[in-house]
Order: sequence, then C-alpha cells, then structure tokens
Amino acid sequence: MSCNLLIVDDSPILRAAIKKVVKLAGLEEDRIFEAGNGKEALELMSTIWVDMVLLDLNMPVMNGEEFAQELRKQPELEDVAVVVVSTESNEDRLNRMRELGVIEVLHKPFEPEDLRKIIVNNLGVKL
Amino acid sequence: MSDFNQDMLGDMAIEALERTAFVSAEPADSEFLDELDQSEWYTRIKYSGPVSGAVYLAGSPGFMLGLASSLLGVEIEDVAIEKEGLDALRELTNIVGGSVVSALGGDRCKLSLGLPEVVEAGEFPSGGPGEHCVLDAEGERLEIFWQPAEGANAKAA
Repeated sequence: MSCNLLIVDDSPILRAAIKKVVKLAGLEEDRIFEAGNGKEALELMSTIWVDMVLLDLNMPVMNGEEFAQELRKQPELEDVAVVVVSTESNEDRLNRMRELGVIEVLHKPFEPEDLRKIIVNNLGVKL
Repeated sequence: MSDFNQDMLGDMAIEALERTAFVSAEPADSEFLDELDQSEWYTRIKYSGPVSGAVYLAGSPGFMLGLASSLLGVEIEDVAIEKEGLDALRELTNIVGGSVVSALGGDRCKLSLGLPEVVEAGEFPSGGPGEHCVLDAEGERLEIFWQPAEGANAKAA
C-alpha cells in the first residue's frame, strides 16, 4: 500500500513497538515515519505528505494538543487523519482533541488488531 | 471507583505487559518472592486533579532487559538497561499510570497524568497508604506501587 504514516511519540521504544505492529500489518517500512514531539512532526510534514498521524499527547517541547492546534491552522494539511494513541483519559482534553479533528482515540495498552482496524477503516486500504 | 485494590493494580500491569510487549506475568507467589531477583531500577508517574498521587514501578535487571527486548523485537544482548531498558520501564509506567488514572477517574475523568520519570531506589514507597503488588514476569520481578497523595480520597469527584 502507498500510504504514509507518521508516529509521534516521545518514547523511542514505543515508536519502535508501534512501528513493528504497523509493519506486521503490511505497511512498508519506508512509508512509516517517526517524530519525537509535535514540533518535529510539523517539521517533517513540511517536507513529506502524511496520510495518517498516530499521536501521543503527553510529550515535551510540543505536546499532542498543541500539535493538533498547529495542524488545523494549515489548510493544506486538513485532510491528514489524526489518531490519538495515548494513556490520556481526561475527558475535557479528549473532547478538545475531537474538536480539533481527531478521528479516533486509541488507549494504551491497545491490541495490535485495534490499531490495524483503525488504519484500514480510516485510510480505506487493506493491509 | 472506591475499591481500588492490589489485584486491580496487578491486572493493569499484566494487561499492559501482555498487550504492549507480549510479556506474560502473574502475581508473584508470596512464598517464593525471594527467588526473584531484587528490583534495581525505579520509575514514577504523578497524576493530579480532583485527587492526586503517583504510580511507581520497579524492575529487576532481567525484567528491564526482557521488556525492552520484547518491545523492540531484538535480542537481549542488543539491549542496554540504562538506555532501552529505562525507556521501556518509563513507557510501561506511563501505560500503567494511565490505567490507574482511568480507573480512579471513571467515565468523566478529570485527572491529568504527568510524564514518567526515573527515580532513586529510596523514593520507591516502602509502605504507607496505597497498594503494592509484585509480579512474576517470566521469572523476573516487577513491582508496582500506587500511592495516593496524603489525605487524598481515592475516589475522584
């Protein structure tokens, strides 16, 4: 499949774990990108097109909420699907993320199959 | 949730280990606790809101290596405890902390979780209010301690 996916998480080891799941599900390795915080993600997205962002919320430098706010200021990126992958359960914060256009919230710990379904359902592709 | 207990704490860690790292675990048999290597690495994550507190994790060296190895999909020999091992324990702390907060806060959770951090052995609670459990994770020790802030009610508003 030819979709680009960006994992934004400050934990290198969790990025690696998510990447492993996504690869096992069939996404090509060179289509999977990583960023350690929202700022790094925006910088990367200024150079490559990304179809879906898997976004952690609690990160240093620029957190997931700040990233989503910045993303929505850029009309050329309005079609990017953003999925929150986080331990966050604060109702107010999750509602704010939905208002910012987040399409799904996947709570850690998640089943690999749950992530695969989200990718398939929202990108309209079969992994 | 007013009946947060040791079993629930252990179940949260077991679920996090199984789902995230494919590491199996079970509550350690109290008669054989001494057979598990002692914890040498410690992490903490704080939460705040209507109530506050912290969740601590501690792992034996073997647990740290096994966890990082499983998460990364690499051999144990390729893992450094001080780097990948601690990163893995921090992430597990984040996940278990999130589960604790979700259980305490319920469907309309108003609690906020901080960032996981490495702490010294002396900072790991040795008693007092809260819940403590020891898991046997494929022959290695993982300890979890939930510590509500002093005077805090375990039940979130």
